Amino acid sequence: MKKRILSFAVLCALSSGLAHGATVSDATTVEDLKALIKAQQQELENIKNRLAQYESSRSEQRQTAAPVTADSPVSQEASKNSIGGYGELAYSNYSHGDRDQADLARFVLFFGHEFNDHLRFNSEVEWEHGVTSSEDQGEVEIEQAYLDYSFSDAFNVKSGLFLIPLGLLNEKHEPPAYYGVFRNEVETRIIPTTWREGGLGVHGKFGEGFSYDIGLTTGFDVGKLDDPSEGIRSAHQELTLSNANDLSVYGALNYRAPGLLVGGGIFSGNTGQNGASNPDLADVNARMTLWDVHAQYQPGPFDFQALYARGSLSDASQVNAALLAAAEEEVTVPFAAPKRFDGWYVQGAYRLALGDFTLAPFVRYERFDIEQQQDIANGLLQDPLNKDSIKTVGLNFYIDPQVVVKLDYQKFDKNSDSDRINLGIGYQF
Amino acid sequence: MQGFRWITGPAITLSALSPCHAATYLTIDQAQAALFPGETLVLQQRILTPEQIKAVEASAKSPVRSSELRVWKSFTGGYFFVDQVIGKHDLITFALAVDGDGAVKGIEILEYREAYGYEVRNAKWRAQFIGKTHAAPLTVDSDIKSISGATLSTRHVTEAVRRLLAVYAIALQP
Repeated sequence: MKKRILSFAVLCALSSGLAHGATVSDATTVEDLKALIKAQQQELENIKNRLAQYESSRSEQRQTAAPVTADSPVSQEASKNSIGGYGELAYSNYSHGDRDQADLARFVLFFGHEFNDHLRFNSEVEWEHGVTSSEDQGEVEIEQAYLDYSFSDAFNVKSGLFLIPLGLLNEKHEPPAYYGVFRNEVETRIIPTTWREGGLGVHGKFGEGFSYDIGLTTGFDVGKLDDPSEGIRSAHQELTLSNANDLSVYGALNYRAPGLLVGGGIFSGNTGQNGASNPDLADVNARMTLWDVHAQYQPGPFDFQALYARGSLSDASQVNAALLAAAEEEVTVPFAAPKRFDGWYVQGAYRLALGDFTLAPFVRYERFDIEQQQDIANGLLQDPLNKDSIKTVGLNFYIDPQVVVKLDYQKFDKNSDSDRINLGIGYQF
Repeated sequence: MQGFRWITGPAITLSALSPCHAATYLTIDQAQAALFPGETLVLQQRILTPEQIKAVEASAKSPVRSSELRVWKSFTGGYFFVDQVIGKHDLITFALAVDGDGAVKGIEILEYREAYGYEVRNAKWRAQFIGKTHAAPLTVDSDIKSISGATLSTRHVTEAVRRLLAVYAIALQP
């Protein structure tokens, strides 16, 4: 061992001596030459690396709009800031009535920053509709703003405002990521996409293809519920002065292999918030638990998806009483609170390559059922339109993997007022 | 000798906690050892001529960004390429090994920077390329399955492999 270390040290000394500009003479040995060639090959490799990086970052800068930060050299380093975005425009032609509408559904920007190899910041800002003001519908919202620290592939910690890992759409909701102009009803009414909470999460991957994400976050406040047709959605707090007397926990597990995704998640927490927004909810738990299972299977050009989601709200009659009292005081129309809500869909698409374009016809069948806690004496009734099934048929036409033109027809089984043809465009970058 | 072994034990365990963001997973030496075990690889000085670049671009339907090739040759006639593609915003550095008959031996991801799309490192996804030659379509949604969450990285890496196999067929094949 000692002999080997010694001869290695001698070789290092010799090779470093030769590599740094020494000349070859008659006294140079074969060993010296080997060391010299090896050192020169390494230097050549380093130069080629830098040339490749330079050429790549030059063409990358030509392609993307990412700005270079003030303190990084223009040509050598990839920018630590990233800008991305997505947006969608939609036009709907209703089969019944005069409600045809065109809308800039959303305009979103992503900003990210890499502090170092372990720590990064991600954020998402959304503007709903063309104009957001106190007189217009729609909001400007921060949908994500969180820091993520990576200890290893298997162990990462995130904290801030982040998306809850349930469903297929919630975490990946950009227009080219789903079929059809509008997000499906199940992942709008049952899983309240885009659903985000503030808190702490631990996530990572293990095995070959498994990923997990668990955490503690803010939750819903049932005192803020104002629309039972979207399940628990209107009780969301969006980390805006959120009442945090009751927190929630979540967990998700997914498995990915080429052409296959299988997974599920669960979220649970009390929503009474100790009566913070409605004093009649003090001492009411109103626990909300929502879980889903989902799968995506992509053999060759086919793309199949299926999802089932189910939620429940406990103490629904006490929630009813509290909401009724508030409605009487504020002179608004009372409604029956949702107590059990579920939905599922199956979807199939075929991706046909047409040169640089892709044409993807698809069909989707979905059902949702929001069961409300009736209180007939007080006029709190189940709305029959809160249980429906929808058939959607259409096509996505990708003029670029990140830009899509969409056309579809939706037929609602019960709520035929919603039957419509939709046309939309969407992009992401 | 005993003392030496004790020190390397925990050091090897700690290196398993390698960083996730902006990580170097394999060095070129390690990738060469993994893809051409026991073989010596010799760095080639190759630059593509403008005619070769045109032919590669036409065959692979993918742009050639640099005329310089980072390629090593093994004594059994195989080739080892190192190349970079964009994931979404950041670069992915990978190595492609081709055997003496022009068939893919394997792919290794050397460096991966992005927060998303890391599934391209999935061994089963990379194994889809083994045995493919220049004649294969090498297109996502066709003979290469995508992997959920990595739409862009899988597309770009697949395109790069297609391009490198075209380079092999046009510029390197004996």
